[in-house]
Amino acid sequence: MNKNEFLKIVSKQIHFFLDREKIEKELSDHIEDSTLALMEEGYSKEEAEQIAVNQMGNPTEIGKYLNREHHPIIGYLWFISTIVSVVMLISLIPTGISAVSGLWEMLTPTVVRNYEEKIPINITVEMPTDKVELDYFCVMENGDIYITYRTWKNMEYSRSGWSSNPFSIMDGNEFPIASGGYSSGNYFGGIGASAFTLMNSKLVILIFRDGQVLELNLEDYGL
Amino acid sequence: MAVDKGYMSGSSQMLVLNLLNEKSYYGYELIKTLKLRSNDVFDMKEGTLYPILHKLENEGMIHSFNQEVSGRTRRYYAITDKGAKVLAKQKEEWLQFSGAVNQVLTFQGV
Repeated sequence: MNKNEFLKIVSKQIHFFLDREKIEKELSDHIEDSTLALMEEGYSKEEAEQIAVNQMGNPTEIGKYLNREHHPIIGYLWFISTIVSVVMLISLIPTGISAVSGLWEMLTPTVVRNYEEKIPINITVEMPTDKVELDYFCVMENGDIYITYRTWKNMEYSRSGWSSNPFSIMDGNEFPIASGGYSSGNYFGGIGASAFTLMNSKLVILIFRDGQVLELNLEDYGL
Repeated sequence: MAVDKGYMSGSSQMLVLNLLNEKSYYGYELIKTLKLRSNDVFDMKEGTLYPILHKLENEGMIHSFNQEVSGRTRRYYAITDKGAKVLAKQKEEWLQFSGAVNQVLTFQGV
């Protein structure tokens, strides 16, 4: 077996073609060095190369071991994983921004604009799916009252988007009195304000999504 | 792995690292030095050195670079900080182990 035959057999075992040339060059250099040294000892060029190649060992075996260190799967995996992680990072940017702005929103108790009077409630209601913090009664010019609240999602229970209002509002006669409001959801939960109009009762009954009932007497709040 | 036949074994890696700890070598130079230092005991098949070198390089123990010497470009290998640390630990373990074996083998009477 001469040098080129040896290199050909080694190369056949290397599946990652990008590394083949580099490996061949390195082994070829080695055989050439070895051949020159043997020629200095007195061997003819042909004899020297023959001995040098024999000293290298089994080309199939060497090729297999080299292939293990230059395996295409690792090379390609590296390439693919780099692309995937870049794409994922980019796709996470909007989520990250909305999560941060959502948290910012959540840390500021919601206040309805243009109210006449604002009275703190500070009641927290725990539900299996989320926790509701009732923050303020906001009394508007036309007599409507807003209950402002924040909901915090139970992360173990659900990571899905925020859904409907956490409670409905009735008066002391169990008559629905909700007259509007707004809410917005984010990664952590949501913020909202429910408006109601009081007719002839000072009692406000909140019926939560999970069936809990909370009675608030507005007289206790000076309303 | 069963097909390993021992030449990827820890001791040859340690010997290669130990030589590279002195200076940078290219493959041919490395194997000749190894042979010389071991009084021809480590007369391994020369081609099997390269899987060892490439494995060590993949593991970050050594790094390679091309350098031109008298008109020929050669691939040199040099030890990394990580390689030097691993070598120091392996050497210590080896000396401890071989010392203990010698002590048992040369034990004379009670």
